Amino acid sequence: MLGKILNHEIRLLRRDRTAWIVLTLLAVLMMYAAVNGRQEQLLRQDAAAETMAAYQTRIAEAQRVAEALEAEMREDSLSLDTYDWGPRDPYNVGSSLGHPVILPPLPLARFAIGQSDLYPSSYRVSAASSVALGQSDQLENPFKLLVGHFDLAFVTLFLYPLLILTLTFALTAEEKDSGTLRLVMTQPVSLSTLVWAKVLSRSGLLVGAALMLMVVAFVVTGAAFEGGWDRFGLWLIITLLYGSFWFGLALLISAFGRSAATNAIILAVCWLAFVVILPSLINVVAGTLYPVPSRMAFVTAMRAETTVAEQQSSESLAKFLHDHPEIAPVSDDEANFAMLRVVRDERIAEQLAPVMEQFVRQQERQHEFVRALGYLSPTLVTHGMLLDAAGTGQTRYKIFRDQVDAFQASWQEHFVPKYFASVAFQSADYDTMPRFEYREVKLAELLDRLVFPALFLTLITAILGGIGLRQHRKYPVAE
Amino acid sequence: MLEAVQLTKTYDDITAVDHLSLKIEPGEIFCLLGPNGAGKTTTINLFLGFAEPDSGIATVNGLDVRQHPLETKRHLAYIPEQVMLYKNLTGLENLEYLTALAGHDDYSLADLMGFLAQTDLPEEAATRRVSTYSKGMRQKVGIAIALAKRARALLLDEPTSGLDPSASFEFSQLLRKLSEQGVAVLMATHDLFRAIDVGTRVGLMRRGKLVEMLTTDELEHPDLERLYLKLMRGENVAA
Repeated sequence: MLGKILNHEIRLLRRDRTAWIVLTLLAVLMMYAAVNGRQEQLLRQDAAAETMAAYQTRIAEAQRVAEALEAEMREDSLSLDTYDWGPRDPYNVGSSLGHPVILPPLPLARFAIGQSDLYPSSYRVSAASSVALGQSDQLENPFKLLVGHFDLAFVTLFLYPLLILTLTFALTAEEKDSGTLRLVMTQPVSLSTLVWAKVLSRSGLLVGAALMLMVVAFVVTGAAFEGGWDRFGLWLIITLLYGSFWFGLALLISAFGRSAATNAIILAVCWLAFVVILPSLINVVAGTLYPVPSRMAFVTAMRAETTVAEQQSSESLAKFLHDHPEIAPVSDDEANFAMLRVVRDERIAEQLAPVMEQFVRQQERQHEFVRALGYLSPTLVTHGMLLDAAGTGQTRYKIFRDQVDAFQASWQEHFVPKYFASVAFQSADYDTMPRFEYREVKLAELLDRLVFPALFLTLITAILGGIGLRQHRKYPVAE
Repeated sequence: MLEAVQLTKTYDDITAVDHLSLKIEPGEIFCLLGPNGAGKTTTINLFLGFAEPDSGIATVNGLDVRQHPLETKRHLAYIPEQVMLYKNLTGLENLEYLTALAGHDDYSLADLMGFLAQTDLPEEAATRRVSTYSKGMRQKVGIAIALAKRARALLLDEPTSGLDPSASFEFSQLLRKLSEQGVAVLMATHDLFRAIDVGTRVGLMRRGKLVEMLTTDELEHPDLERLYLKLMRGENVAA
C-alpha cells in the first residue's frame, strides 16, 4: 500500500511545478554557496600560507646573516658565545620575530567558514607578550556571524528548512482543501499511511537532492581530492538529521487539521523562532547574565599598565634583580633592554591577571550557557555539529588554543633564560628552537562530541513525527 | 448491508443526526430526501467513518464502522456531490490510483477504460488531465471509481448534480443494474423524480430525524412532492 501511494506521490510531485522550482533553487543556492565558500577559504589559506612563507624567509635570512657574522667572528678568533645584537640576539628571535602558529584548515572548511573570523586561526607566538592577550573573542550573535558568509552551512541551516517547508506546509491540508482526501479516505487506507508516504516522498526528493548536491560540491570544489571523506560523511548525516527534524515538525503541524495557509504561517513562525530569534535571544541573555569586561576596557587597562610599567621599569629591574640574586646585572644595553622588557611584561601580566581571569571565566560561562540553551533551537544544535564536522567550530579551535598555549610556554621557556644569560643566539640555535605543529583532533574524539547532539536531534524528530502520525488518526477528513 | 442504530451526531449545539435508525438490505436503493442541513451528508459521513458518532452505531456488512475503519471501507464505494480528483493526473490515472488503493491493482488498461466507457466519458477525455474536465466529466470518473471498486454498498451524495439529463438517465440505469447484482445503495438526493424512478424506498429527513419512510411502489411523484413539502413545513401528516 505504502509503495502504491509513494509512486503516486512521486508522480504528483513530478507534475507539480513547485517541486521543480524548489529543487532548482536548492541547486543554485548550494552551488553558489559552495563556490563562494571555496573562494573565502582560498583567501584564508593564501593569507596563512603567506604569513608562514614570510616568516620562513625572515628566519632564513636572519640565520644566513648570523652565519655570515659567525664566519667573520671565527676569522677574528672570537668566541661565538659573545652576545651581539641583531640576528644573534635571542630577544630578536624569541620576541621580535616570534613564531607564527597556524590552525591548518580542513578540506571541509570551504563548506563552513563559520566562526573562523571570530576565532583567529593564526597567531604570532612571542616570548615577550602572552598569547592570552590575543584571546579576545567576544561572544557574537551566530545569526550575524552566519549571515556574514554565504557558505553551504548557511544554506543548510537557513534556506534548506525554508525549502522543506514550501513542500510540506500543505501535506494533508492540500488534499483536504482540494477535496481529493475524501475520495482517498473512502478507500481502505489509513491517513497515517498516506501522510507517511507524503513525508517519505518529499523528504526523499529534497533531502536526497541536498545530499547529492553536497557530494557534487565536495567533488567540484576539490575537497574530495584533499581527503576528509570521514568528516564529509558526518556532514551528510547531520544534514539528513536536520532535514528530518523539519519534516517531523511539518508532520506534527499538519496533524491538527488546519488549512494550508494556517500551517504555512505556523511553520514560518517556527522557522523564525528556531533560526533567527532564539539564537539571538540566547546570546543576548548570555551576555546579560555573564557580562564580559569589554574589550575596549581591557585594552585601555593594558595600555595604562604598560605605561606605568615602562615608567617604573628601571625601578622594577632593580627590584627584580634584588629578588633574583642569581642573575647578574649586565652592562650591555641591548641585553638590558631585553631584560627590562621581560620584567615589564611580567609585571603587566601580573597586574592584568585578575581582569584576564575574569574575562576568560565569564566567557567560558557564556559558552556553557549558550551550549546548554542551544538545545532549545535545533538550528543552533545543528550549527555546532556542522562546524565541528567541518573543523571550523569551537571544538577544534579549543584544541588548537590549548596547543598554542602549551607551545607559548615552551617557547618562553626556551628563550627567556637566554635573555637573562645574555648569551648569543647562534646560527645553529635556529635549527633547535621549538617549532609548532598542530596535532589534529582524532575522529573518535569528534564522534564523542557529536553523539549527544545527534541523538538529541534524532529523538526530537522521532517525538514530533510520532505524535504527528498518531494525531493524524483524529484528522477531520470531513467537516 | 448498511445499518444505523440510534445514530446521533452533534456539531457544537446543532444535532446533525438525531437517533437515526435505518437498515438497507442488499439490492435495495434507499433514497434519503430532505432539505439542506437535514443531516443527509452527515449520515453518509458516519457510514464512511469521516465523523465519529456521539452515540449509536453505524455498521457495514455487520461491522461497526468505528471499530473496523479500514475493513468497512473495503465494502463501501462513495460518490460525493463534487467529485474532486487530482487535477495534474488524467482521468484514467485517477481511476487507476484510486482502484489500486481499493485493492484492485490487477485491472488491465482495457478494464479501466471499460469502466470509464460505462459512464459515457468520451474516450479522448480519459487521457487528458483532469484540470481540463467539466464538473460532469469529473462526476463520471467518480462513478467509474465506484464501479471499479466492486463494492457491496454504495453511498451517494447528490451524485447526479452536474450531469446532463442523458448522463443522469444512464446513471439510473447503472444503479438498477448494481441493485440487481445485490449492491445496497444509500443515496442522498434532492431529486424527487429520480428518487421515485430508481429508488426502492425513500426516507424523508428533517433536522437530523428520519420523519418518514415509504416504499416507492405505492408512490407517485406528485404524492411524494406534496408529502415532502408538508413535512418540511413541519406539519404532521399521516401518509
